[in-house]
Amino acid sequence: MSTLKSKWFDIFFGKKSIPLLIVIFTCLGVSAYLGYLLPQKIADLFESYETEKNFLAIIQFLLMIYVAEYLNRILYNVTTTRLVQKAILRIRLYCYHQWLLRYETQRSKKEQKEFPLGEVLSRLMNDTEAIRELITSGSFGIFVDILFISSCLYSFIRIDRWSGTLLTVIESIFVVLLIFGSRAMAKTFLKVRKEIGFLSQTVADVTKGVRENYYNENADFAQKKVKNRFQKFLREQLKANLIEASYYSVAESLYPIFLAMVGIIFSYSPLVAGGVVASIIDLIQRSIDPIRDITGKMSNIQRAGAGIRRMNEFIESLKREVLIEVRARGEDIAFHSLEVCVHEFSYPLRDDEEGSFSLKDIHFKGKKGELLGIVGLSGSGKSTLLKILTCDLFPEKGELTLHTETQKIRFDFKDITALQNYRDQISLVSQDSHIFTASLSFNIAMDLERDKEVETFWETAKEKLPYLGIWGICPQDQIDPKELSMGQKQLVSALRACFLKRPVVLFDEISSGLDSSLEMALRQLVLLVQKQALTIIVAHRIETLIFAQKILVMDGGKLVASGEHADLILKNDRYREFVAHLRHSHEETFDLLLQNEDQLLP
Amino acid sequence: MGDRLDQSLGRLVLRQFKEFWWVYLLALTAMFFTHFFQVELPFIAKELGELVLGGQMEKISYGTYFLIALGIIFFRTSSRALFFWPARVLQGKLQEELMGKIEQSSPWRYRSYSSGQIYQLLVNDLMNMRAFIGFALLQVGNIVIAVSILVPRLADFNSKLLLAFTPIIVCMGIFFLLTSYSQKFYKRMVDIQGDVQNFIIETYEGKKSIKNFQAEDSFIQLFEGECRKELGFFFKGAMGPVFSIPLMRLGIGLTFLWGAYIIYSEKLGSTSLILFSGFVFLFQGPLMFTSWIGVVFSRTFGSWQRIKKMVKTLQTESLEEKNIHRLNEGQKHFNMVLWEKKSSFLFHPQGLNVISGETGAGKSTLLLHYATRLKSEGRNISYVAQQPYLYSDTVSSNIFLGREPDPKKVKTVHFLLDLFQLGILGKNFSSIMAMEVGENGKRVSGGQAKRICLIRSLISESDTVIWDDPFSSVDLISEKEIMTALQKSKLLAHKTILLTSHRLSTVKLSDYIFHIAKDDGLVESGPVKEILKKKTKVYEYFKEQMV
Repeated sequence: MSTLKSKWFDIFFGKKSIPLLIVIFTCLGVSAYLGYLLPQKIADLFESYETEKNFLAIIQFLLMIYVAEYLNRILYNVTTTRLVQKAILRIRLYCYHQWLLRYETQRSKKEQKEFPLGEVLSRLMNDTEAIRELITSGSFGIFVDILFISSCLYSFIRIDRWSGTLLTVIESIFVVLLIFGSRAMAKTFLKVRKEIGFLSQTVADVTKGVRENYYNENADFAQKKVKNRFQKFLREQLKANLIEASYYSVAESLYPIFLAMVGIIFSYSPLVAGGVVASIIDLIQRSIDPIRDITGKMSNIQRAGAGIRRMNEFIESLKREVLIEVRARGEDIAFHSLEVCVHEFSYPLRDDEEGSFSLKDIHFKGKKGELLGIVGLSGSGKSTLLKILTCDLFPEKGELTLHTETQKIRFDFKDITALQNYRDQISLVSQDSHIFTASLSFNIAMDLERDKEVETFWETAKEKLPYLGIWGICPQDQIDPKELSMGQKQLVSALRACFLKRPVVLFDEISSGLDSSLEMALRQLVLLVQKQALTIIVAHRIETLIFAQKILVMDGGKLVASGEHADLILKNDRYREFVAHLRHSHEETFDLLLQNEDQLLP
Repeated sequence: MGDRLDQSLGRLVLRQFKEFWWVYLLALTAMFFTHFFQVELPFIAKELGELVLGGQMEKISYGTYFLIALGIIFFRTSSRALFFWPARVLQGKLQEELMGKIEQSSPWRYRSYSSGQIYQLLVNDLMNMRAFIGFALLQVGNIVIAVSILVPRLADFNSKLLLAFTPIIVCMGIFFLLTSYSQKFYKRMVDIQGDVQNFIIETYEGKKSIKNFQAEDSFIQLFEGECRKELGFFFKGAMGPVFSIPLMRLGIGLTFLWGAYIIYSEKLGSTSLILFSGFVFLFQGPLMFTSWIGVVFSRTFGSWQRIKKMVKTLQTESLEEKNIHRLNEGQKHFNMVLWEKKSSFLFHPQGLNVISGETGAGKSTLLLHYATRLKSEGRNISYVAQQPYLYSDTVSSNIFLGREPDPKKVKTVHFLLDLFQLGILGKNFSSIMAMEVGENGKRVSGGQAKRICLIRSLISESDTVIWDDPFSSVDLISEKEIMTALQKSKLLAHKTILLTSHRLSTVKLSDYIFHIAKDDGLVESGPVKEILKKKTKVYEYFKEQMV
């Protein structure tokens, strides 16, 4: 337990925050002391008015207390703000770091869930926002207030035990009652918050669709939808308004009620000094604000607390996963060849399925400079194989071995250090390769400090790939991923692989149609990559296959044949079937071929 | 009375008062009575002090205390609730109006607004307007009534004591200035917060790529940079409240001491100290809230300006609309400037017109321009975008878009669902129609979403249908089946059909082709049968695609 606590402290604050915490506690102490001084001085003020002694000196002293209290509060506020600022930065970075490094793997027969985006966003942003609101709403001030009032009460008890104790008891009862009342309010507020959520969702939804539906008969669909949602929200909101208004009114009515209590208290008290009466009324006035605010601020603090708890859970669940470490990439190795061996991999069973798809007995080898094509109809297991090669899926039995002239890097899907060493050597270009809203240079190097290298790389690439010149884009240009076509995205991610010079490049070829110039550029780029690496390509184009040194034919989760295109097309039925399928999807090509055979053939 | 959004802020407030005059009258009455009761409190406290000191406890009338408490509870609650209610109603009306204006306006006009910005206007900015009409007006009313009741009573007792309120008022002024000043940091923080959020979304979407290229380190660095910036502005923005919130308490303390001094020098009696501290207490509430008005005002003015700007944008004809209008007024052809060349299209009213060309040649833009022209001529059209958006609602609502489904059309929808192979979405027809598709149709595939929109288009009363790449998601065989069935069903009879495609198969199913190219605009057009026979540019284009 104690280790958990110290960790918790570490995550949020760390050693550097200790001086700040010391200042905060000192401020609390000072506030308590000032609160202790006050009632006596107010009483003195009243008494000295009667006796006409020291009146001005007491006013001066009170002035000093007020000013000191002000300065103390400012110091307290500044320090808590700084503390919260640091803590939020720290916790966010910690969460982001852990989440980014969480290695999502799917092992055979074991389902693993990824955190949905909404979850990550609300942990990193909304929950930290709840902590921040403590500052903007001044909720931290409630601690100073409570301490100040408590020590006032304590000091007052020392002046007049009987009435002091009674006042303390009465005020405590009202605090409890108000907290109780605010609990009842919480349900209504929860409903309102839910309705606000629905309303926001509806607005966000319709604003996205409203543009294109301008051109359709839309019967004011968006307007009606928003209106209906607002009506529902309004009902809950008005209910909540009424409840909140009455809550604050009750808190404001405490003044006359407390006064009545004072009357009752003194009816049973012997001999009262004038100063005591003045002091108690001052104390009542002083305490009404904190009493009224206590529930609101407490609920803010509770919300922040819940946020902290949720973040803690998030961190805990991240920790349970296999993590890789951020470290500089290992040195480039003198890569020679890759050996792939997958004995068995099966997807986790779902309830409604009889048997799940599995991959079995796949074994092959590839050398630097080779182009390896993987083919198969959909469902043959080629994308599963690709995911195993990128270590996104972990088979229960199998290993990947990188050979250099002298040594081996062997990864058996267990040892995490080996995973890192293996991972350092591969890169993946696929349809899912993400292009970031950043400069082209960053998208290629994925590093902020390599712009110069990218510049030189770009110049050489431009010579080899005329398309880049035509495209008219520069490394410094900001990229908006939405503006890029599928093919252009693949081109950028292939350039990335080329620039980073990983010894093994995995390619998932685009299956849909591309403009001819882009198609050409991609082919040229594959050739460039091939020179410096082993290229394994899940092929969707016949042209790619013709150039491949070796083709692996997959079917039903097994490797059914391998060899060169010319060979396979003669000997293997499966391969012929696949090629025929490719033809089918390019039917138009063949349509025209049939029509104008003589013109098209070289 | 016209639209609220077309009026100035002042007129908007006046209209609000006119419309809800009886509510505000009741609210002000309730407010008057609240203070009417409260002003008695300092005198009661003073009296209480005197009675206790005089040992005459039996004269204390506890009933009055509780009566005052009840009065405060009742009237304070009423005044608050009565002020907030019309403000919320106004918020709803403004939201409805703005949404309607957006929906009715050509998207060309608000092109520069992202969906996120529109959302900001419709939700957050209107929320600020509510705060202004509700909270700010309530506090203004409150302070006016409070001052007009409290000041005369205190002046009656001793007018010199009013002077002692100077510190509170000065502190309030400083408070106002500080909080308004720190607003700009707050605004910057909110902007950067959006950036941080976007950064997390990007990381999420690109996580696999980050992992595949071992770029974790740079992303952590970038994230830290963004967060530091955001939190820096948070700290600066917080400094306003940090210095100003405790200031009010200081002001109250100083006022009390000044008052005590006046009481001392004027020899008003020691129980006057109790009376005066009661008055300070009563002033404190309204003043405290009033000092927040600065923040509300500055936010409101910002929001209102943004809203007005949007309204103006929506009402101003955009450059594109003007051009489309200028080029096409009274023309039979459809004219458009494509790649700086004027191109002229004659779409055949009773047939399938297809536009072909490379990605980025301007096919989609062409469709939108044509749709805009037809819309401005008041024609009834329907349009299916390349990646159409489905609303988070049922399949049925997305097909009928706010209209009542009539039985004849429902029958057609049933037929089309089968034809488009959407039967797999549910067990039976009614379960499919009742299926929720989720935001942007996330529960159906992109191809299914498109086909749902095609159904919507097919059952519409439009005379022209415009489809952007309608068959990209179906295979060649189904495409042929669908087209044959549609032609048989007469759903497309007497309609002009305009679509884009880069597939030869689609072109072959069409009657007329218009080929456009980057830098050249309209290159070729004519009946499909003739064009594909000869060695035309269209033919060259499809040939080149294959090699």
